[in-house]
Amino acid sequence: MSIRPIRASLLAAALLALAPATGARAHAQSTAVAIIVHKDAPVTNLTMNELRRIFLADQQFWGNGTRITLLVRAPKAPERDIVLRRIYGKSEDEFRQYWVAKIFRAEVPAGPKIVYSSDMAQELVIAIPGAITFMPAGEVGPDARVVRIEGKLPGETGYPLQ
Amino acid sequence: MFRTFAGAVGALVLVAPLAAQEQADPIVRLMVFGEATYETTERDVPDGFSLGQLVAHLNVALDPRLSVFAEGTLTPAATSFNPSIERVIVRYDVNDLLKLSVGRYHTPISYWNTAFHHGSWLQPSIARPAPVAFSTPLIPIHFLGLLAEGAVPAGPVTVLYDAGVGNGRQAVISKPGDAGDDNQSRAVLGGLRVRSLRLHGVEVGAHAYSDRVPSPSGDVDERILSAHFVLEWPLQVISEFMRIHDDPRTGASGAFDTDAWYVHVGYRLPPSMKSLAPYVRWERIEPAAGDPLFGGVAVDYEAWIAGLRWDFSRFAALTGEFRDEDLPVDDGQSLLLNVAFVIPNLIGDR
Repeated sequence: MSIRPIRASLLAAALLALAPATGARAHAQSTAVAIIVHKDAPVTNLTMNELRRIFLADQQFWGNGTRITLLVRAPKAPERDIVLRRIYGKSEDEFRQYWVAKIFRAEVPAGPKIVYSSDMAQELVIAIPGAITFMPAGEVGPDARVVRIEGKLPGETGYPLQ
Repeated sequence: MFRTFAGAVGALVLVAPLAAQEQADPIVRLMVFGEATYETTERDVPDGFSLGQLVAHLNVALDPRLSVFAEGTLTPAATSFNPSIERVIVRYDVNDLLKLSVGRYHTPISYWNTAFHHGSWLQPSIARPAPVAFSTPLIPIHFLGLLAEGAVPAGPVTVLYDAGVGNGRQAVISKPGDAGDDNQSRAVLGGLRVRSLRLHGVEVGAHAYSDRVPSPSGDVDERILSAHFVLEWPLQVISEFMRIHDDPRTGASGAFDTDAWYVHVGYRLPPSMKSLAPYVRWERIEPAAGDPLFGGVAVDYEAWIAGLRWDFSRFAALTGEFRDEDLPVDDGQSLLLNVAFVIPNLIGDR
């Protein structure tokens, strides 16, 4: 009996055993929303409280003094729904009213900049100092700088934005 | 010396436009609020159709730290519309901890006064609560001066502060001294607010205001203390209390304490009917008889209000409101219908 079929069977069995875990991780990766920042932003990890403070514009500057520019995907994108639900805790209408009120109170000079695709978000976050945005983890390009949330990257167990 | 200075100025004049051209021109953002109301009432006040204020905001970031905000209104009167500059704020953001500004503000002595003010579409009812109404100026509605503000992160909450000095109330107590202070005595104010990050929309805060106000019977030392609690979700709760302590510096009348408060409770119905938001509110003013600043302006007042807001568009709402107002004279019930809108071009730079 040749040893080659046995090796092949063992390899197949190992792949089958790993498949569910790999599949689950791939699924989590595909539904997770990654937080991306400009390369000079002085953060590698944010807590959910810090993330909320930034997205609510209660924090408007990074620690190095650069003004934070918030880039938000236009309505209808699934990643926007996740951000509105998990970070803002608001519906689409409440989100709109929140920013109208924030500008009315002169607390911010402008609302978030709207982006219409992940490519656009990625190009702008790379180009604008202090920018922060979000996009599906599966669409993050090699030049983007992903920030850990609560110490976790998209796809890891317990990642909060999925 | 003069030639050196002139040379430096000349170089600046020549170089500055070139440097400015390297950056994009500032984007001016415009926002407009408006409203129209129909009222029928038992009270002896004008009723029928009326236009509310038409409000325009201009907002521009001149550079990443410097911004200018301006707000003007057109208010309908019996024979014309009265134009008014409501706010002009020039602000320099040092960082999140310190933002310095100068200008004319909505006085940060009341939550409602700063959160909604002229923005009728923003506020959850048709009329402002009586304690902060334009017609009963218990508190100084506007403030002209200098303000320092900041936000301090503290775990699950953000602590916000403001502190300011300005002209304060004038002989006409609703005016903030746009052309200078009547009595050369500046007003000072300060406040603290704590805003939750986890309980969305929860905010508690307190403010204090101190001024010497001119009046026909002599100057009055005024101290105002206010506190508020706000919850935006799932119920909307806005409650405020304020005490206005007026102490005339002449005469033997002693001090006067006026208390005012309101509690507003609203509820956004579940998703299938989420465009509807019923609400109720209780308002109360207990004025101190004989206060030389208020005269007949602040009267003993209690009101129950119930209403239903229908957001029939993303940027417009129709609200029906029933008011039962109890005053020493001219009390009664009223029914109001109001359409309020906002025209925003502000959510992003489209």
